[in-house]
Amino acid sequence: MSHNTASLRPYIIVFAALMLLLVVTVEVSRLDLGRGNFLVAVLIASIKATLIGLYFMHLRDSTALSRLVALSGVLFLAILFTLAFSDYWTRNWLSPLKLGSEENSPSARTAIEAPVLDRAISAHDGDTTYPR
Amino acid sequence: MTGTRSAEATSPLAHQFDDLPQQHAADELGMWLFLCTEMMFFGAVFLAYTVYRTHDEAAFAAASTRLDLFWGTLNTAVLLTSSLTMVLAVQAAQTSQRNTLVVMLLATIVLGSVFVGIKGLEYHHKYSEGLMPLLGLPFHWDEPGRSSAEMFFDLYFVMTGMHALHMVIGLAILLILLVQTLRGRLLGDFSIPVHLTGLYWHFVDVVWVFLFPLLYLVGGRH
Repeated sequence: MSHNTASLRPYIIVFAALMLLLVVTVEVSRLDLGRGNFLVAVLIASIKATLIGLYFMHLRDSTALSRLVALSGVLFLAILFTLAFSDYWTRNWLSPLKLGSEENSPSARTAIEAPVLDRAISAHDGDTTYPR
Repeated sequence: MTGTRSAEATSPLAHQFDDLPQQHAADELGMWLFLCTEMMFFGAVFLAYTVYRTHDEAAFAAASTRLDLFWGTLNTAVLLTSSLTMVLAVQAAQTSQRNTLVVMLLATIVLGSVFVGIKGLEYHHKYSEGLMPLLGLPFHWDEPGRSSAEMFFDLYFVMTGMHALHMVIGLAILLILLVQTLRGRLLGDFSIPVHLTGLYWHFVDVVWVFLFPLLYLVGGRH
């Protein structure tokens, strides 16, 4: 690992970019993009994380194996989210994809007030022949 | 290992490695493997957050506005700065600049402590507002979506609490590094512990970079 004292500039530049992206994150959150707010926030955070990973964590100078391992962590996270959400959405356990779905229907009210697991459990109330 | 010698008598190369670059590559790889486990550790709570936010975005947005945006933003800036001082510390260690290393380690410790201090302040605010639904404490919420709002604050305390715990552990490690540096170690070929601590510290920063918008900036604030 050879670094000379003159190579501080990349770190300063990346730091300035990170602070700028922080301002962008806060300002963009003031806009009402509905569901888009979540995606934009995660996108900007991912850019910041990539900058930190490449430059501050020296992934640019690391072996390909280290980069692969770092990437695999992200990949397993993606697997976790994909499988978990494919489960939740195909069982219809999440309320309809719209904002402020309050007090509209009895089913919506149940979706808001009762945690998902409670609802699944109480669905079996009165089962006298359980387990079948 | 006492006295005024600035380098240890033993070689930095462990006997099972062919050369120093190979050893450093192995050290780095080990640290990244650990960080992968940390990604999954935090990932689980992020998943829970995403499920419940998708379930009731409106309640999450209402709950999120009750967090101190000023302190959260300031904390993010503080932590990003500490990442800068940390990477400068790693650079100083690798180029054997002892005084710079001491200053940068101190700066990182101070900034990290400020972060934890501000977190404590925010926690106290939430406690006095009755928005800390932990350990049987009362939860004051009169708007609709009460159980989702309560879940938001549960997630807030768990996620930021786990993060703060990681910060405190990082601060302890940095203190140990500082003591070692003052004894003349961790320079040049012996600097890998500083590098690995830097990886850990930056990872904890990355976690916060995701935590901040997801907790403080839900759905068109202000």
